[in-house]
Amino acid sequence: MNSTVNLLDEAVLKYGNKIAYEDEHEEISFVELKRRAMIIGTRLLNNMKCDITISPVIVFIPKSVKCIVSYMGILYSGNPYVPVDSNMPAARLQKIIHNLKPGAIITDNKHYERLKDLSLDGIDVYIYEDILNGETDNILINNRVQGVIDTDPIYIMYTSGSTGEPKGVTIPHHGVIDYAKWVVETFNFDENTIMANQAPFYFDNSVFEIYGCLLCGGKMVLIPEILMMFPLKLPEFLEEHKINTIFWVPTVMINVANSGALSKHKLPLLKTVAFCGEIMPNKQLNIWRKEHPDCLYANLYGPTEITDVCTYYIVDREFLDSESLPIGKACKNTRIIILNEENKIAETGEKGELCVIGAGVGLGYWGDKETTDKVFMQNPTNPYYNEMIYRTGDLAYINDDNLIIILGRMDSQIKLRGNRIELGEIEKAAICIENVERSCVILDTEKEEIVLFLETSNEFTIRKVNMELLKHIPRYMLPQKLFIMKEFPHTANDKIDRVKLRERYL
Amino acid sequence: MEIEEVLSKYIKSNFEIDDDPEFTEEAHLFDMGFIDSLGATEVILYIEEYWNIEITQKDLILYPMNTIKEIAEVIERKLV
Repeated sequence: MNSTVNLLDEAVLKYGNKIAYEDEHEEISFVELKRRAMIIGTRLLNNMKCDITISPVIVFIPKSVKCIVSYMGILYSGNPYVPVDSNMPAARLQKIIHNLKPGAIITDNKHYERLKDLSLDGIDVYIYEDILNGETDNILINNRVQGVIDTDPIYIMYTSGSTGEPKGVTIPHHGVIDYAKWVVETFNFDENTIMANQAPFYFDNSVFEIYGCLLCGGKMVLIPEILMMFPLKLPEFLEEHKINTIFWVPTVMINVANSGALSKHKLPLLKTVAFCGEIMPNKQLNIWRKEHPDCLYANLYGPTEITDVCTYYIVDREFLDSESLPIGKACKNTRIIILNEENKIAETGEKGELCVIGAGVGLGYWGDKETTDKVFMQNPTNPYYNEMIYRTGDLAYINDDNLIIILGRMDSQIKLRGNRIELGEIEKAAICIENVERSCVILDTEKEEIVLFLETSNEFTIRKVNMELLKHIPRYMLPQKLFIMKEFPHTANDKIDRVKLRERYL
Repeated sequence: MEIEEVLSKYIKSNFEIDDDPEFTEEAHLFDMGFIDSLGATEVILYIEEYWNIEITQKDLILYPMNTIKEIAEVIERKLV
């Protein structure tokens, strides 16, 4: 298989008119998905150069079936797609466009307005509703798709960057093909699998469902975004839609457990409960296990850079609330090595940086060789042949049961409620506020709050500051606490004294 | 007390909103930062208890509940 879109061609032959994807507005079969995607692919190809150049296409549409149709359409055009948050601040979207230099943008009528203030330098903008009324050119598409190789990029997903510039993680087709196979094999998915998707499409947890569903012929039900604000109503949604599989970020699992809603809904159909994106505490997992003892529970781990998941642990024993849940071992066709400070393989029990080798390892950060080379590199323990590793920056060790335990980060990147955030990006955004001289952001790990310090002689309320920050950063990066100071404390070499700030206010 | 009034009073005291001229019955409670995402559930729980009604997942999907006015409309419909 050279292009991931071959999975859709095969699904059409095997499962035909079976419903594949469903949101609150529409449902779509495999056949209809292909029909619409081919129209979009044709339209894109008619306007693009049809040589071997790769030209990414941004999809600026809220999470919906429309997005999946667009992604498949872009894959039929032989190009990678770029899912972006439809609520993304204009300034951040502009940075992405600047870095990506996309060939086109697909949006809908409602979001078209939001693009008008951006400098697009002649990038083609398509309105989803309009391009669906078009022809299909099978030969054009077949020729183009046949020319794709599985090391070409399938998608680019932007994550927070410490310098304030988002980084475009670039993933190859073979990463997704390999991952989809692993997902379906590991969890025994088939045509009866019905998944309730929680992850936004600009997070790669959604790759699990989008491509898992294509491969097994199951159905993916998109949870309406509004419901994510009301975790206590989620079990009711699962019941209503006869869901048997979920793959959620732990924060949502925690909120559902804490809401008490699990005891009110028996969910006899629920079979598989997988989670990934941050550490899952056993305290809340035990609530799930108590209420739904017959489900299979799986703890998955992986950064965006390696195609969603690289290790997994099927929960196979009782855990005390205070114990930490292992992330288990490497997925099939993936190898994990833990490198100590001397860049040597760590012994059992010895701490080191978790590094990933395998088909899922990404192609780097789009248009940013310098940042790429810092973390995608030759395996330092292999002097014999080219072997790319991705250094995750996560500190880990292997325990006596041969399972990997994650300890935390080696830098200032944080995970908060499932979102990956570089504190530097918030600091850069805060400096853009008028009359702010300097800014510093720290994480209150106990309360799970982002704390923002501003050096300014003005008065600000946190609400006003956050309204300003929203022009630059997404909502999930907003601080929960604000401290205003006339002058920051300094270290001897004139840097902001973060330790002192932390001591004074936390 | 009108539904709007009860809601407004509860949100103001529970989410520590002082006399802010931007806090009106038409103000978008979430976009304008009066309530954060964690607060949304608290508001629903309060409504369900105070008026003894159930706001279902379908209500949340079908009807926008972003302003005091919109929330009051949903409550009124339930009370009929």
